[in-house]
Amino acid sequence: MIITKLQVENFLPFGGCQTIDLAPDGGRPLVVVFAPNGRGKSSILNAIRWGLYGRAYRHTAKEIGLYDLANKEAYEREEYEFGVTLEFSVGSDEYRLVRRASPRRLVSQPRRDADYQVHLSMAKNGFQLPQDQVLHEINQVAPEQISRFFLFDGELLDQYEALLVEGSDQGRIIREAIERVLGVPALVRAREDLRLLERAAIRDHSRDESQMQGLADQQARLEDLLNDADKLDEQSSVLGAQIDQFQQDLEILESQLEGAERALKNQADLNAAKRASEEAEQRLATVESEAGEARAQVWEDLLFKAMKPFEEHLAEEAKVLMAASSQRESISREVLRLSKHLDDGVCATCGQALQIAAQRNVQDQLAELDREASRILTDPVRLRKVMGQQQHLSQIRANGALRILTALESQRNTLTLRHIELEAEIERLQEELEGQDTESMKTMRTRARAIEAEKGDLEREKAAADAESELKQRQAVALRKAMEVGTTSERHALSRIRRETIAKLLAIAEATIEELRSRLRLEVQAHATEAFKRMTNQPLYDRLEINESYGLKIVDNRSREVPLRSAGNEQVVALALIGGLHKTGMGSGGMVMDTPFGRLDPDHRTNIIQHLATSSPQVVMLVHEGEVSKDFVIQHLADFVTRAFELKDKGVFLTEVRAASLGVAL
Amino acid sequence: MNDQASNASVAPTNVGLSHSGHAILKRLKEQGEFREMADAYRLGVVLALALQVTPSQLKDKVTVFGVSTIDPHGKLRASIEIAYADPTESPYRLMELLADWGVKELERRLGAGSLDLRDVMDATSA
Repeated sequence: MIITKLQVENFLPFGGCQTIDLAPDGGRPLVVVFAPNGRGKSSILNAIRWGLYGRAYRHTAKEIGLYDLANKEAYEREEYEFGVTLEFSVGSDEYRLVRRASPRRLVSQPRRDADYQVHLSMAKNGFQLPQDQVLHEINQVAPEQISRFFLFDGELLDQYEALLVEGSDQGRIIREAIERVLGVPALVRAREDLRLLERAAIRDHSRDESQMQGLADQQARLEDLLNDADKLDEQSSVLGAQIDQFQQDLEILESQLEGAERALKNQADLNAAKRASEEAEQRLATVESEAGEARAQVWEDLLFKAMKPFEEHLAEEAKVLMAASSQRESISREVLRLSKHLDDGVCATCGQALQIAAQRNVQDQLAELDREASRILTDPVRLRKVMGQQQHLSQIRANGALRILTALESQRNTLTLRHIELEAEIERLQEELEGQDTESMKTMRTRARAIEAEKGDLEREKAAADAESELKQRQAVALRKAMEVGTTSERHALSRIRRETIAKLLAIAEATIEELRSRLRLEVQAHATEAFKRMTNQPLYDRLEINESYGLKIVDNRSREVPLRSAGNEQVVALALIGGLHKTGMGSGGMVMDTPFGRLDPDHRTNIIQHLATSSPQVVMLVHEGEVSKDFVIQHLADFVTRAFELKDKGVFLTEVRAASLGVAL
Repeated sequence: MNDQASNASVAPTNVGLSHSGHAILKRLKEQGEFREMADAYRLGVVLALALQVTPSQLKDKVTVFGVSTIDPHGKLRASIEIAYADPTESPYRLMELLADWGVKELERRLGAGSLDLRDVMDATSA
């Protein structure tokens, strides 16, 4: 990664928007930023670090919060938004990364980190990357874990010592990051994929093996199924023969029973007819008894009806005789009254004496009454006789016996007819039954029923055997099919070959990884040693020796490890490691070095700077004049410096970046 | 006639019918057509009376029943007197003639299968 431009806006001491052009120019990889302590050298390193990873550190390695990243001058002007824009290249790809922090919505004045929200965007070759790919892309081109190897902070050298501690977490993380950059992960991923493939192959092979084993079991099971089916078929056949025998017996019995059935039915009919005949006889006897009773009474009912005309005639005669008698009595009373008038000579009405004329008139009336009376025929004797006869007839009552008798006789006729018919039927049935032994027939029927029941049991048993046999057959076919479709020995062999091949590939991958790691470490070690020997001024130091974590130890010319390294040596070794990594595989990336030479003596300083200038495509040195003076630059590095900047104090919280004049044409 | 008139004036205490008529009575009872011979006797009298037959004199006679048995309330006697207003013949003597005819008619009808008195009813209704 080559950082070509850094733009800071209201970030740390950099108020407003300021831009630093960091692009190396041809064979001049150095960009020098001069600043006294506290002017913002580390802030430039933090600007790059925050732009890339969203982190900034104090010299104590403590992280700086968003609120503190905001430039205080701008903050006081209520310009709360701040940000960093980085332009860099990786190979032929050009990137523009923008990270900005601004107050959250509804936050009028941010007072703490949480009051800010951060927005990150990135363009690659002029095209904006999707938001979710930005971090991935950064991690690809400049992993944070190895950022210490291109963002060198001389104040945090102890971080490099962690590499020397075998097995430490920090060392492991750094080693992984280094290896990722050096290309080891491609093989590691291949190994992981191969492990997955091997696991699948083992599983397949095991399954095939178990299937092979299962195949034998299945074969045995298949044999069992087929044998079972054979036995069931044999059982079914035996049962079928028994059923046939029973069926023949039944047919014989049924043919015998066919005649017997008729006889038995006749017998049943005969019994029924006899019962009916007996019932008819009993009913007939009852009817006869009731008819006898009715006949004993019917004479009076019949007499009542026969005498009805006579009764009416007598009633008419009595009426006439009684009317004549009444009329005669009325005339007699009038005659008596008139006769009394004549005898008394006094009018009964007015009480005066009757005159002669009146007496004559009465006499005439009497004569007339006498004539009238003689014309009326009366017969009291006859009347009394008629009335006596009427009284006799009134004692004769209709009793309904005639109606009852008529109905009973009708019933008797019906019953008699029915009885005759039944008797005839009984006689016919008896003739038909003559010579038939119904008892033996009943026994025959019982026997037939027993055979039928037994035959039914056998049929059910046979049906069950057939069903079971069919089931076994289906299971056998299914099993056979499964055996055919499933694993074969050929497939088993293939799966074995596959498993073995993958295992071999995995072994190769693992060996390759170890080989690659070993080679990489040796290569890093070689390059680091070369860099170290160029930078150190101690001739007894023979080489650097690398460990698993890419930690380097100094070994003297007698192959002894130099146990204690000075701060200066520490810095030289760290820079040697960085150089070795860059040479080995990190590519021709640039470096930004903050106060890199603070612990070095002038000889070392010169060696290192010259080494860096000739070994890296870009070196941004953030120095104070105590480390590297402008004169030193002019004197020793003029051929390597592209441009120089100065950080100028514009206020307590404000630094301005200015181009520095080195007094020579750069 | 005088004998008859004298017979009419003396109320008989027994009644009967011809021997053949008596034999029929016995058979009717034996055959179960009637429980008692008196039942058949009374019905014979009424049957003849209802059909208004003019009975002929008996050639022989056998006394079978007491009058109090056959006609305890005098209903038959009164009916005969009304239906046959013959002062020369005693109602009970007339009853014997009617009974003899009637019994024979009963046997004839029963011999045909049924007593079937519906025609008798039709005759009285007309």
